[in-house]
Amino acid sequence: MKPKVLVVDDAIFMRKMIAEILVENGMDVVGEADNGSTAIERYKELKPDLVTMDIIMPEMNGIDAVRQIMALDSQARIVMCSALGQQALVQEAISAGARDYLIKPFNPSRVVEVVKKALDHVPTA
Amino acid sequence: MRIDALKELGNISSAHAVTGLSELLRKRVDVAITSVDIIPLHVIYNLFNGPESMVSVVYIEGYSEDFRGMMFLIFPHPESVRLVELATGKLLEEDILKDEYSLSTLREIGNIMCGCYLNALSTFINRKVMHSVPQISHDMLGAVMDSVLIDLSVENDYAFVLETAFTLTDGRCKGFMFFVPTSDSLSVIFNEIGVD
Repeated sequence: MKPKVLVVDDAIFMRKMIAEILVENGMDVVGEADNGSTAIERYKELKPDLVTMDIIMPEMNGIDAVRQIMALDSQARIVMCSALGQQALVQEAISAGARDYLIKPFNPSRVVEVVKKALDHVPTA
Repeated sequence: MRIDALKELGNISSAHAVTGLSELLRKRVDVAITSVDIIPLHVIYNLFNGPESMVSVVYIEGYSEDFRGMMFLIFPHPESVRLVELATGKLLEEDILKDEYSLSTLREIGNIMCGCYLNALSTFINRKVMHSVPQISHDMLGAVMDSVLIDLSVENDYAFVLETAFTLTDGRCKGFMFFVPTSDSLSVIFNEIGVD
């Protein structure tokens, strides 16, 4: 079965770019969200196998959304996806529960590598 | 000495920003000028065809606990159309202002360039630097700058400006990037880079 992915980014351009890469590599993009609050609602509704999460978004930022999703589901697999790649921010996101961190702009092979690794790291039982 | 240090900071940060643009477009982008100066903000108008010229401006506020600055990415209107076409690989069939996908693309280009710039700046000033959600305006340059500067609470017409001009190597697109830190933030930069 194809892994279900929720793509969270306030830019439709970036959501489309990420979704295209994931679909071309055998994943099913089951939903999208354009801010952290909507991401939490979509997570509850869709129960995706993985979430790609931007950081700077209106209403609620991606790191707060990661914290809230992890509080709902400690097994959630979330990969951050941001142009801000500062070490302190990466550490904060990982501490919040993110599995990995993609820095924009990225090439498709890097996205696939990180997403697949995040999916592999979870018990399948 | 201070100006030299800031120019180097500007060079490195803007190199990161244009590298971000280059990777996104998969095209070579060159930095044409990096300059550091205290200038009346209306001088920015001279880089274009005066305050009435139509431009697209993406702007964000970068901040940490004791640091704040505004970044502007300014493209003459036809250049913003070309940039969107290069990023999406499609010719724009309708007015950029009426097409949400094109606006989103331009906003994301600004997001990536400003994010890359701030990542480099963050290393210099040894602070985590966050930024606001990018805003975008299309209007006459004078109108855009007036409204942004009111938001910024810039009380006088002079500001310390780090300016970068960049072009795509094939000459099909050019743009300008400005970083305007507050005066308190300048002290933070000087302290951290060890220039008193």
